[in-house]
Amino acid sequence: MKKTRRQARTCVLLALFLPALLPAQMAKPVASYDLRASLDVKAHIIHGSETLVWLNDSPDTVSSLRFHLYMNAFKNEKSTFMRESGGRLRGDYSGKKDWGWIDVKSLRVDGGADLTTSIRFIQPDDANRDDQTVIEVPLPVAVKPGATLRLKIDFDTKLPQVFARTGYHGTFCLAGQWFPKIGVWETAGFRYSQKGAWNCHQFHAYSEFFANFGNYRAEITLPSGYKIGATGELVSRRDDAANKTTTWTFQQASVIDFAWTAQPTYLKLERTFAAAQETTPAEIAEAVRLFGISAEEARLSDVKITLMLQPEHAEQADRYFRAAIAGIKGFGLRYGRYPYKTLTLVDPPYGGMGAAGMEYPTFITCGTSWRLPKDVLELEEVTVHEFGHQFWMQLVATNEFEESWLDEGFNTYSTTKIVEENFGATAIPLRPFGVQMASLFGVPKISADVENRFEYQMLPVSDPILRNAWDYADMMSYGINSYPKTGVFLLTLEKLMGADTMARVMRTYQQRFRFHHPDSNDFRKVVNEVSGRDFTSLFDQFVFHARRLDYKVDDVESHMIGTSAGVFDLGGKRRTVTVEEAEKSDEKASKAKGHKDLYESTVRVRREGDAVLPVEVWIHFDDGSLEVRQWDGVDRWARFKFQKTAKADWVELDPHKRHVLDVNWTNDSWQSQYPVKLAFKWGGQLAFWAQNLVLLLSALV
Amino acid sequence: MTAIHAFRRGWSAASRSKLALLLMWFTYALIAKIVAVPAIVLLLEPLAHSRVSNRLLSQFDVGWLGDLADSATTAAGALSGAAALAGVLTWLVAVLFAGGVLTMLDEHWERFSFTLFCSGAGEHFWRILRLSLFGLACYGLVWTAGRVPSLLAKKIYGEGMQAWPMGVAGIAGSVLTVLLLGWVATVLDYAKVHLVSGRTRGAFKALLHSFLFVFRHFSMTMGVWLMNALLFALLGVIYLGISNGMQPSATVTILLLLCMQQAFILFRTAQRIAGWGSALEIYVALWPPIHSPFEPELVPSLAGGDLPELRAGAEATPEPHDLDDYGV
Repeated sequence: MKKTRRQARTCVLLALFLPALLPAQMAKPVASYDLRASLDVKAHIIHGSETLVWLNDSPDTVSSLRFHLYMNAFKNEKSTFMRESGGRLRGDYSGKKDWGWIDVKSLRVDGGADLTTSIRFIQPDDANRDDQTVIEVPLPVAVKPGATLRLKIDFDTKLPQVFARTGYHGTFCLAGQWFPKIGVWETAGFRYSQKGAWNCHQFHAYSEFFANFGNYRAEITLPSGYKIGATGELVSRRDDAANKTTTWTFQQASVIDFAWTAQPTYLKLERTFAAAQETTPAEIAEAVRLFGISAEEARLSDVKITLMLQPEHAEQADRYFRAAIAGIKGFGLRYGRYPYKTLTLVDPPYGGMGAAGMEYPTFITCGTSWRLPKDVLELEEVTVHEFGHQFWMQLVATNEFEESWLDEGFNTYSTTKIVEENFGATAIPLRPFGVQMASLFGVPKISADVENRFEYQMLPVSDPILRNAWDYADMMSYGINSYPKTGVFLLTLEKLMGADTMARVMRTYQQRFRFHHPDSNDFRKVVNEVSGRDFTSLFDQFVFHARRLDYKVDDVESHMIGTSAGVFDLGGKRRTVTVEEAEKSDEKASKAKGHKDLYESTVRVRREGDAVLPVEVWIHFDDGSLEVRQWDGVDRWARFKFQKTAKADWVELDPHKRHVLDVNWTNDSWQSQYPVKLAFKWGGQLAFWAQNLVLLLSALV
Repeated sequence: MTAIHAFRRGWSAASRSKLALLLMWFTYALIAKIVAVPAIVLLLEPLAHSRVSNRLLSQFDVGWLGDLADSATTAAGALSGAAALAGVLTWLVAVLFAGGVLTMLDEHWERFSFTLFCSGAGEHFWRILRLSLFGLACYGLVWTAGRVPSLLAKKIYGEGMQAWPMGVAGIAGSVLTVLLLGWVATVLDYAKVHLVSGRTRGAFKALLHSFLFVFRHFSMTMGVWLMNALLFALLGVIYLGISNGMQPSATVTILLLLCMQQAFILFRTAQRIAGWGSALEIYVALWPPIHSPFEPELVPSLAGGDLPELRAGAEATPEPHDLDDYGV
């Protein structure tokens, strides 16, 4: 009887999943979920259940399971997340009034043993016994290689007041990381694993993603009148007039997570990314040329974009859609088409901005502010960036806990290009009396590249780029290494190998590891393979170690070489040349027609930092000639000498500014001419503004 | 007397005060240099012979600030010290100028007299200094009042899901702050005028009187302030528009920019004198008449008694009136 029931369930599941999902299935489903959730909007509790189908896709026999219970990060002040963040994260803070938690009410093998009583909390990352974000469940029967385990889990999730990524505010609710989620079994040789083991980290302040691909289906029951957006495609809607509820069903194949949002007052707007209209034949042809692919491979597919918008941001709807379209097109042409049919953008309300700027499969939370000026590109940057995570985190599903640079940093590098290409540089918000006045005050716009380098310069060597997210010196070090420093590192790589080659590197990496879980070494190998050069040293110095790159022009000197005084043996005779004779000789020579003085120019360049990169040195002379030298940078300094009929008038290291990682470009060059005009101009400006401040102060006395 | 009339008379006084104007401009420029010169050295030292300077000549580059931070982080502390010194000097010099210029305006002088200027500056220094300290307290209240709309909006709508009440309150708070700043600055100007022209010494009383005076003649007094504020905004926008459009890199255009900048500073300095000139006009026309102080007559005593003894430290000029004049 039991067996029959289990078979029946299997058939139901297969019937539910396979017809709809198999055609669109792109990844091997290792962890698939059938979720049911009902939101109690007063208590902010999700009453949920899930059927997890887990495939042991390894040669190991697995005798226990591990699950993330992320929402327990918000349970109390003793959780690892709260200790690390101090209740403050990304400009938001925890009100510590309404906590969040998740209770596993029952966990059993579908049609088999009840494992609820054997659940225990573990802390694989730290010794914090109070952290309850990971559980381990011993299995009565180990799962053999290639076997599938089906589990049934009932749970209650209490949403916290929005603080970090998830929760509720007013009638707004963002359910991310809301269900018990299985970890990733890493067999020996998979990423850095020496032997088969679970990779299931606690919930930390700065990272949260690493999961297997699977097929997701979710039935979410909400009070009637609520509007919903979620991962994947909406497949059905069922109204229950008696209970005044609506049940929405979404499903999506080949993703690593599932999130949803609800709010009764959302403006729900839809638009389609029509690939044929949004891309030009020239753009497709360029992709074909650059990547050596067929036009069919280069073409993009249509995507239905749903925008869950706050009513007070209604005038910004078009900006959201344009940013999403720029992302789908920009990322698609560079790295391969976005393979899903839907994309949902969430615009969190005021007070719920802790949930802004987050990425989930086919579902992203963006963020804007009331009457955001058109030239301030905060909305566009966040939207394109969060969409970019569909490529760097979701499709190439790296481990954000351990290698956040492969996720956030790659996305920073990519976002920078797409935002600049589509929207240009951003203005600094300068809004006295609510009016944007940046251009009136002549405040220059800032390109994303400049912004990245500026942030990198604030903390260039605090940590290597590659670390566990919780092992960085502090939040700032995590942020700078994971985002802008990686962006600057990849831009340096691009400048060194050329933009086209770098584009091929990134596409190859994306395509090769799409629906897989690569690590940093996989990327390094792709870089070396595609570029045909060995960049291992660059990776060692900046990714695996924290080296400082700073070259400078140390000294430049030119002096005339005249007739030498002294005793000389010439033709077997000894001759003494006095200083006066030498000077006379020089004077006479200088009067001769066509005579040019001979100068010896000495240029000394220095490596101030501990990072070593070969560098090009340009020495320019006042007759217009240019000497180019290569310096391997191994020694602390190098000297170059020239004898020419001209003096060195400027010297520049790395003239093409390929070393974006160099912390100071000001000292990379020297010129004989002192910038008097610059001194006057900017001196005048400084004096002018100082005078204005003095007058302002005097007017208040 | 109308606000426009007072505004005109104020600018007429400013136009007669060229030497005072130049003295103020020069002194404030010197003070500004206390900050500007180290800042210029700090900014230009790394660029002295760098080719980055060529790029910066045509357009300011935000990216360069990161390089600068790498070169000159230690100098930032010294710069903030210079700024603090400049602030204190500005305060003291502004007090001196107020006394000196107002004395000369009050005396209807035809030619700039350095002696008269110094005498006025010295005579009124301490009372105007005390007044400026009371002014600081007023500005503290203004700052607090300017935050009230935002605090109220936060209290009422802070738990809501819409940002616009906070946005509107923020704008209202900014506008309120500026208006209140203008109001307090105007009141302080009338208090200074009262101290100088009314020959009084009580800074606090002068402040209270001026609050009432500005309140009673609000449209007149604040009308002048508003006209000056609009003139400042207009010329400011014109200056910014032109200077942004110039982006000079040639010597001539750089010199033109420097001239424009100093012309704007001269305008602002003149506006200060014009403001005092207008205030003095309004004060003379509308301030309640000062009662003639009782002059004791020295009458020879028939009984041959001694003359009344004068006490040291008595007020040379008795307070002409008190708050009763305003019905307080």
